Amino acid sequence: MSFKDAKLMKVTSGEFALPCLSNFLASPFSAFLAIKSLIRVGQIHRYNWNDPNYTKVVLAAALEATVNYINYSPACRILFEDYEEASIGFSSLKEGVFLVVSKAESDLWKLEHEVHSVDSNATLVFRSDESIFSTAVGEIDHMVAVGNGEIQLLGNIPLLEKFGYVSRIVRKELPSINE
Amino acid sequence: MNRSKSDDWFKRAGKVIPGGIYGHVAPAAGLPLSFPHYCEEAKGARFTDLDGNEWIDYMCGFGAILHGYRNPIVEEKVSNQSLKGSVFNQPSTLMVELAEAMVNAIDFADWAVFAKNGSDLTTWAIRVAREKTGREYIIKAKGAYHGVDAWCDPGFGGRIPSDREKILEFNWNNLDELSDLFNQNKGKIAGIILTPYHHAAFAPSELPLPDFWSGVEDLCRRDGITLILDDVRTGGRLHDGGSHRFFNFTPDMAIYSKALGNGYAISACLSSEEFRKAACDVFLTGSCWNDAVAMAAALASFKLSQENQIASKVLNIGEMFVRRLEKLTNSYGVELKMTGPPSMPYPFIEGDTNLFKIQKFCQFCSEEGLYFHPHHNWFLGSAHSECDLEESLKRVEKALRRYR
Repeated sequence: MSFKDAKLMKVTSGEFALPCLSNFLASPFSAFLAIKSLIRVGQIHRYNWNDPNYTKVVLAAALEATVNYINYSPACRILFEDYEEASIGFSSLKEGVFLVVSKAESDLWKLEHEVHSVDSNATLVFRSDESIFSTAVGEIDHMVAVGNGEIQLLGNIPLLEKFGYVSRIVRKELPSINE
Repeated sequence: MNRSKSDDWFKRAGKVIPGGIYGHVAPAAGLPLSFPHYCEEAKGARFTDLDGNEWIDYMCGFGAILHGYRNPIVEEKVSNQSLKGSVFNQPSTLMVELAEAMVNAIDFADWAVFAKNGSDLTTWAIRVAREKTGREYIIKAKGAYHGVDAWCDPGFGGRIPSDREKILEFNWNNLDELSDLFNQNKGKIAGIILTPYHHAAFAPSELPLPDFWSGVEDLCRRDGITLILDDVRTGGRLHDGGSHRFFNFTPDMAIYSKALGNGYAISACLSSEEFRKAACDVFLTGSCWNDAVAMAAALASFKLSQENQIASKVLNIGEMFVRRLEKLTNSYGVELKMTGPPSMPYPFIEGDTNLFKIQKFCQFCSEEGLYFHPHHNWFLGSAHSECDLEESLKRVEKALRRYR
């Protein structure tokens, strides 16, 4: 399924837009499946993300976006050039580490959903589901939140500071589900 | 430890001050939650936080306090000057007296200028070096802190690429790397700015290797490069005549602040006759930089240091404390090593490269009322009495019992 740039922007903001007809006519069955998938994505997009059950999904999306900036944006990549291997654990007081962002030697940074080890270089601890959600959608005041205990920074704090800075660039440049 | 008032005020602060508290004392800079946000009062080597908890302090206002909080000699001079006023249209004669006192005590210096913060004068000094040499590039050590200006600040935001285009970096103690930088940029380097030893945050302190400073001096003299000493953090805690004498070298310019005013905002840059004309051509001023109260404090504080060999005294106090602290922690299986000079020791636990252990140790100590910073060098002062140190070690032992 392909869209012209302007129409793709409409789709991402939840509006209806027609895809390029040439592709549609060339392969109608594939196009039908793609539309079906797109409708499902749209349904997820309109979901009530304030539901605590989905906070981790929102956080994972935010982390994926940040990881992509670290890997592909030159201005962000340079902040991490000294790290050959590193990892950041994301945890909650309730259940410990549930997501890990890591980089192995000569690899790109990646988000891991299955946490095999908690030996991260740094850990960000969320006090509650609300803290996870507000962090994920960029509504948290990261400095105040550390002061009032909503989030805790443990371990290699400079690594967390860099990651946090890139996540705020992402927040400025990409649309959020709360907008 | 109760922190409710501190938390309430922090909540108020978060609404009207970005981040609530910013800079190196911001909670986001990594102090465990058990540390207070606000201080109520301080005396000697102790302070009381907003919730009435008393702390034995090992940060001394992040180095700004050398003779103890509310030192009576300094405070008397401050009170006397306060009755006369602080900022006038003209400077007071205290400015001349302070410049004379510092020039007399600091061997390479012929003149002094004053400002409020270290950054004011580290930035000014590199401009003087550029004016003097007609060159653009400045060299600094990687990870070294020289202030809040865009050419050197440790943050990420608010910068444009040109801010650091003319700043080159090398790894501390690596003379080969430094020599390569000098050779690759012949005729372009105005100055090199260095701290007396490498005291980066979040990492053990590194003392200069035996041939480091003589090597730096040789390279600078060979190529006519200005050697700028950033003695802002260390000044007064290594040698009363400037930290260059502790490590036996001679800079062209040196900047002092922190301990200079014993808690009153002032900084100084000193240099030799050779740099006087360049200094006159680099504009320097600030709204309250003639502040006579801060100068009265600095003059009293500086004289105290000179007359009582305070740097040696603080080094001795520190030596005794850090060795006993290491011994005590080691006996509990915690391999704590205090790095850097004992008057400003940086704590490091063997193998703890990611700092989890030192953070936990400092958190446990904070619960016993010890202000031990996990990621920044500590500061000893002349007000740390034997009683303070003994009591601190007892509190450390209590913390260690729980830490295990």
